[in-house]
Amino acid sequence: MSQILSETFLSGFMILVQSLSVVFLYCGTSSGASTVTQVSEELQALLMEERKRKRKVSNRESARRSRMRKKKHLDDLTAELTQLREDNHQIIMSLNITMQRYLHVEAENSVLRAQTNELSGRLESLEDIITFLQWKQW
Amino acid sequence: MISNRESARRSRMRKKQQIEELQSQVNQLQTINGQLSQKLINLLENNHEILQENAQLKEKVSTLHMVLSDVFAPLRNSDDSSSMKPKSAS
Repeated sequence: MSQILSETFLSGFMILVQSLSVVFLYCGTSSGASTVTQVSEELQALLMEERKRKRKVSNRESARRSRMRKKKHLDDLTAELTQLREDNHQIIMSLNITMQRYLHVEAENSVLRAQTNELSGRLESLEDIITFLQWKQW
Repeated sequence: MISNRESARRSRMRKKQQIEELQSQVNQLQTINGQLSQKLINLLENNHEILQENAQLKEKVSTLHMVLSDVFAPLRNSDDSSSMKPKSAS
């Protein structure tokens, strides 16, 4: 904030002095002319200083933003890795549970198939006996 | 004794490698998670199918039990001259 203020004063002062130096020029004393040039040169130097200072501040800010961007990138990456590890864990747990269920049902199916075979066998035998008896009745 | 300049350079290099390593791990895990997810999807589909098979088999067994007991039902009720003794259907 004070930078802006001092810059405003300097610019205003510059305009004032440049106006005054025009007046001196028309007054036309020899000592007056060299004084004006000196003042003008000094003011140019001051302006250059001011510009240098501004550049430095700007660079500082830019570097700061750059560092913050870099840090954010690192933090984001770390957070992403943590999340991915958690996801990985969850998926593996689900896989294990589901696999267990699958094996259980598969075992049950084996038993059920054996039962159907056995029962079908019984039924076939009975049908054979019935057929035989019917044939015998004839 | 290592100069400050060299020390700073090495520090920056180490940092760069750390970040690259992190990125590499992230990429790896993304790939793995993708593959595992696909495995899970497939397994869930298989599960669904086998449960349907299971239901069908249970029905078949139940039907066969019914049919078998039906075969013997008239024998339990009748008084006629059939010499066959009813066997237990279990």
